Amino acid sequence: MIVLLALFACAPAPSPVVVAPVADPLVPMDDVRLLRRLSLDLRGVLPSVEELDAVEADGAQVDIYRDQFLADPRLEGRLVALFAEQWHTLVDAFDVDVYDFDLTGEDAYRFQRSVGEEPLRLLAYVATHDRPWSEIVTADYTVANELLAGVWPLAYPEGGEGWEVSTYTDDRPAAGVLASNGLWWRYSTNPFNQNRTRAAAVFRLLVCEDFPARPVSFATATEGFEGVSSADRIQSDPYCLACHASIEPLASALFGFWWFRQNSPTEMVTYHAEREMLGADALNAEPAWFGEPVAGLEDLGRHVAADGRFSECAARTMATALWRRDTVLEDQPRIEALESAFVDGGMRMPVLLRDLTDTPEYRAGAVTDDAPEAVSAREVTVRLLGPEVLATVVEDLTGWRWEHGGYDQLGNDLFGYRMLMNGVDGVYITRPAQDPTLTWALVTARTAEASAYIAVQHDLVQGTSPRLLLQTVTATTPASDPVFQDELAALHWRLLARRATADDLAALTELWSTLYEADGSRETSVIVAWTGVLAALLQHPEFLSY
Amino acid sequence: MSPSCRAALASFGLLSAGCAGSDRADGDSAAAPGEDDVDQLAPFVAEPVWSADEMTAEAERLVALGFPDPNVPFDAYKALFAYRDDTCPNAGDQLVGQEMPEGGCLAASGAHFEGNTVIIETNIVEGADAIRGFQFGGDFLISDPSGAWLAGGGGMRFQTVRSNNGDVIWSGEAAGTWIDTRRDDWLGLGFSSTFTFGGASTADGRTLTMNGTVGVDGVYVQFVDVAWADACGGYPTGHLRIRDPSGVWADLDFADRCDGCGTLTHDTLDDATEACVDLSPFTSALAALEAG
Ligand code: HEC
Repeated sequence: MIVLLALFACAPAPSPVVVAPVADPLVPMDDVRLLRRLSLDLRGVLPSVEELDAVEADGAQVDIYRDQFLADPRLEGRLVALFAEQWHTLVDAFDVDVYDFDLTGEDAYRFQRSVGEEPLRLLAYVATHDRPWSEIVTADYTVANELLAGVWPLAYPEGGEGWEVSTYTDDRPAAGVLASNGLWWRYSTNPFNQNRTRAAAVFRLLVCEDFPARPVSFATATEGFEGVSSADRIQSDPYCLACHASIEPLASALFGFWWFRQNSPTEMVTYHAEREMLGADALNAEPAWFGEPVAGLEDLGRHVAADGRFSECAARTMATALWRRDTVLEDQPRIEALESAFVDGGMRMPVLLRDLTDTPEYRAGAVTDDAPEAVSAREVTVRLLGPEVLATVVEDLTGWRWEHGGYDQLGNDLFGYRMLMNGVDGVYITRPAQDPTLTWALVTARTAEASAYIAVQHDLVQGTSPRLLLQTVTATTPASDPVFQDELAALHWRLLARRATADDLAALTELWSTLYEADGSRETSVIVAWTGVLAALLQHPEFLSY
Repeated sequence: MSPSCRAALASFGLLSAGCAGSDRADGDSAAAPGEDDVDQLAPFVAEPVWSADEMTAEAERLVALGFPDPNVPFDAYKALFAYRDDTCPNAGDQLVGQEMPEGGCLAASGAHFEGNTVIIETNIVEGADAIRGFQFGGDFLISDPSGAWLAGGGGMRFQTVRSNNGDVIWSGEAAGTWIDTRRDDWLGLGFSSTFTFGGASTADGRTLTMNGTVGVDGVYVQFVDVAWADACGGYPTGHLRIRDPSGVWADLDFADRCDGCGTLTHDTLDDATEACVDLSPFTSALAALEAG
């Protein structure tokens, strides 16, 4: 263990190669590490050795690869994970559970994730199938899998597999995510709340108006309303109206998803067209979008799509996802430029993603020494692998996913470690943490150890080909063999996207020998030593950051 | 496992009613998402799919499917308890989900019980008045040995107060989502609602009221203070709202015409039309309930 810690201590921090002019406090990362960042963000896997070699030889190749990644089928899954950080639908519990639908406990995780992913899958489908972004609120289809097709009123393509374009068959209006069960199961309501939580979610997610986050001071509450019921006050107190003048009419438009009985699976699976007009009475507000009356949910979707804030909010949402931080006032010119290119490009998400991955904020690997305090505090120049990406990277490298009783351990918090690894559960934790916490380190360490074990068993003990991580060494290759050193160098390059220095190789060799000897230098000690070395590389700061 | 399962709800009539009367004028199918993206930012103009005559005909079709009498599902529920055994479901005539296995229980008869129900029955004779009624709510699915099933999520309520001077006051509610696959009426087709009704028959005369929403077989209506009083000679006052398949609502205002007709207006149409609708299947059902 001492050796492992020592390795951490002397690991060189990703160093800025170029010192940018003082005017620009953001220092771009080197092209090879940028390739790695792009590959992880857009595909959820490490770049291949061929890709690393090509970009090392010609830095300009990085943009060509980026464009390829934007067309990669894995982008869809990545977008689901990125949207989940802000849409918060991948919760561990809904008002109903798997047993309400004649499924078994083995399906519990798949059930929860299928429900929560439905709206995200629709977003990701629109984003990756050359559809205009407005379709997320106007689509007359959703995206569903076999499990959802079995429990919801959906026409799912015959012979379909996994997530497929599907249509609801219960007369619900064409309004994209606004008509998706998954969204309203996550944002449920109750007789007192009357869809207001849902309205607030729509404002936050689609036009980036975060009402609950608005500064509220009870001192500014209008006087003279003592003893007035909250229902009356909402309608008359200017203090309440500042938010509720917009919230009530939108809440009123969502009554087709009003459940007479909470927690009732029978009620929750279908749309209730006959209840659409109940909101007008319940909330004393006709359905409207910021003052413009809407004739139903379909009309609402059109109004959202036509709202100037909708495209800006898309730019802001994706900037938050890819810059790994909230957007701030200083970002406004950049956001506006991104938005206008997005709109000019026909609201195609790949255009926005391409432009965003060109921004200095995305490409920064460091800030200059004299960068303003605000910039160094704000920019996330070294990003940590979160649970979703770590899971896909490890699966790509070893074929292994950390599962327990059907649960993805890096994807849930009932039995797993999503939040402990800086992830978002959507209820308690609503934005990904960026700091290497103790629990993050623990989860990554265990993941590294298990992946290393699996790879070495596969490569050296069973000798199965193709090999996973150890390409050339065998269980009898001595440390002094050049093949051994080449293997270490290749691993370093593939896993960290940085050529190993002589010091790096010496440290890894020393670790290998120490472990080998500590195990008694027996025949099987080679396995122990390689497992330790791989585990060290898989929890190396440069592996876990990007 | 029993053939009954709540997943079956997904494929049942009510829940796929949309297949009959599609919402979408342009009829895009699942395989080909909307082709034209410029269109999506255009203002939404919903052309009604139904004419005024079709709207009232659809409303009459819904009314002809039967009055949503809360007694019907309650009786069906009680009858299904004939299939119970000593352990499935739990004791009594309620389903207590926590005391059953996850996913419900299978009785020796082959019937399957799952969910939760609460029943409160009232039968009070106090002085000259008799108060009789029930509240029946929950979320459950019971299938009989043949695989036919009754499911409900919501609440049913009915109560009468009779005085020995002959006065009767009564009220009821049918709310939630309910299906009985053994029937072919409103309950058999699947029913979704938030519907309340009530009435009184006293020396001063008879009144009837209906409020709330009803959806059956692709027809969706809302009663807004629809009332019958002797003064109007058996004709309704109030508003009946009817949802056009375009998703836009039309409003039939009976006003004080007292002839079963009113003015039909549609959110997206300028012209108001005269329209008449016959709600008598509902009023006669109510008269029977009052007598019952
Ligand atoms: C800063 C914006 C804002 C102001 C000001 C505001 N509200 Fe709200 N209110 C909200 C939001 C957002 C919700 C939905 C809450 C949620 O997300 O669950 C809400 C919900 C409610 C609810 C439903 C509560 C529940 O438990 O579900 C009531 C009632 C309400 N507000 C009353 C008032 C009254 C009365 C005032 C004035 C004294 C007021 N609000 C002022 C934003 C505001």
